[in-house]
Amino acid sequence: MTTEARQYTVAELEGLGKTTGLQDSLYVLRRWPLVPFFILAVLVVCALFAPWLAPHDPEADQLRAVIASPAWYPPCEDGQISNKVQSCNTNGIPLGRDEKVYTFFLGADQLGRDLLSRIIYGARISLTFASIAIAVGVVVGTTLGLVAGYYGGLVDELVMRFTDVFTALPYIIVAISIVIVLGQNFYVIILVLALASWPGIVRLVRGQTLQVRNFDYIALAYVAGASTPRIMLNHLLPAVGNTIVVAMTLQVGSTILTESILAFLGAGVPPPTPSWGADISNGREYLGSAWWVAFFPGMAIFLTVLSFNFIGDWLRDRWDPRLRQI
Amino acid sequence: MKVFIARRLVLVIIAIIASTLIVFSLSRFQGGDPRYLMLNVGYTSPEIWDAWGDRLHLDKPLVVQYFIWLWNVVSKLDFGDSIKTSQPATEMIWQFAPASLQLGACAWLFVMVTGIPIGILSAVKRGTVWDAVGRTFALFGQALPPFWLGIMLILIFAVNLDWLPAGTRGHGVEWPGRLLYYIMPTVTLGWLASATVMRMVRSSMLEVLDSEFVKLARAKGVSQTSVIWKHAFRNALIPPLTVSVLILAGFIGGTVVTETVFAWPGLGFMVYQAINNIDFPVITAAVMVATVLTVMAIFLLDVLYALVDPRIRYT
Repeated sequence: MTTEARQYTVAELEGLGKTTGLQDSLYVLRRWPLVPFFILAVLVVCALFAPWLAPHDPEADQLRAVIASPAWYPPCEDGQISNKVQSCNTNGIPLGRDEKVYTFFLGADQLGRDLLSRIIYGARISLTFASIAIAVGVVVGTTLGLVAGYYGGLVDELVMRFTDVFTALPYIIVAISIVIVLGQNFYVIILVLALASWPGIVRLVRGQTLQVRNFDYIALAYVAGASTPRIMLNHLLPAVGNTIVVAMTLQVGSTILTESILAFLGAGVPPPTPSWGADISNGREYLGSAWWVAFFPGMAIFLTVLSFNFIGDWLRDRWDPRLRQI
Repeated sequence: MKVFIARRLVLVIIAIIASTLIVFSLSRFQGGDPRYLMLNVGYTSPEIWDAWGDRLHLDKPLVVQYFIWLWNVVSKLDFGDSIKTSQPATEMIWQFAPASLQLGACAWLFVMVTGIPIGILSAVKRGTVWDAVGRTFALFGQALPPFWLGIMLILIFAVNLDWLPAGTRGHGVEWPGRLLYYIMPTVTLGWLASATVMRMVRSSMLEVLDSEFVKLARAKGVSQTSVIWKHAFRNALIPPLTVSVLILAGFIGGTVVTETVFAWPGLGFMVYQAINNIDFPVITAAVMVATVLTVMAIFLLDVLYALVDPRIRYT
């Protein structure tokens, strides 16, 4: 019994390796997280150029426009407004009939402040907090991790137990307590957010350092008379650099989430400064009549965190396959 | 083994003492005098002010104050009385704990029932649609702000569709029907944790499926079902189980966000109100409960591992 080999025509053979345009683009999308990069680019532009991009003043009340619906939302009452670009409040009264037309692309909140502008300015707050807090967390975490991993023994034990204690504390409760006691200001919030980010980095850096420390080049550096700070900064730090960058990226998403949780619970930047989490908290009161007040800031957080997590995963796969398990 | 357990116990005690230090210093932060937080300075007579001072032993040095506080906590479980309600903080913990326990147990079940199967499916059918669905589930869980998720669930299922009740714990409702009240809080609380567990199951399954002994089993002709469940699953379950115990401890200790969104009368809800009233006895009690739960969970896991896994050295 023989099986006949399938005969390919030349055309078929040429077609085998070819992919359609759609497949190509899907492949590119999988290899490069273009959509997350795009979202982040928009976010960064918003944060940098908020005053020029925002259509309204994010902190200006407009009491005629309290919980006004988004401009594209179905008109309030039939026939009441012909101009679709207008917004109206929930009573069905078109806004600015008298002298001025207010347009709220994403609606307005309970004080009539433009939600789109608040989201654009909120990007500023979120990104600033996240980047500074992570920078602080990374510096502290890396230093402690390097020291613990390099010295080992008692130092290692002390640092790691200290880290364990911080991990075991109920973070949200302690964080809000600190903010309430020390006051709701920029530095306190940075401190609290940094508290969340350093223990994870200590563990990662320590783990990597423990491995790298035993490599021959470290021993050689020691024999050659390099001082301890030199070994740590010039020899150990570059070896754990990739891990740190990946851990940082993965941390951005969760820091932004934490910041929004704190803001939601009333321990964020004080009002009227726009903050995504606080805006959701405001919108909660108006769920039945104005869903957009809580919905859009939440979407902003969701998309931002999703993008950062995506990019973090992608970076980890590319740069640091050892970490894949997390 | 005994030495190992003793050593771990010492570490547990050190961790708990360290956390009491942190918590205590928090309550003495504002100028070192908690009376500024507790009493309204302008409206308090000097007698009352001094009486509170005596009661809190403020005339003694800070170190002595700490040891008095610690002694009360250790010997009588006395964290002091709530400033708002004058009820002993320990009593309040007992009063609010059942709700957290019930919700925590439900959410933990949800985490196990979703996280583990989705993780396995995702790993076994790697690269297929199933995998994509599973990973999307995890990505969403890790990116959705929990409070927003809760609010949106209320908006969709309670306000618009009117399918699920929200805002109460279903007091007085007969039991099977009362479960409806648990659905939204459970999902809100559990999704993030479920995503974590799913990712861990997936990666550890992938690792085990790639190992030599699974290849050997396959080469022997063991069926796919048997390979997945008997060989791979058992070995891949350890890391996610570890995390799940810590998750349970965290849930039971009270979750501020979910309980606040759903007005769920648990420890998280209690402590959030206490924070807004700057009610330090209650805050410290809640923080200590949560910390001790977590530390004990870690301790039990360590001991359990040492018992089960002979490769762990007793150091």
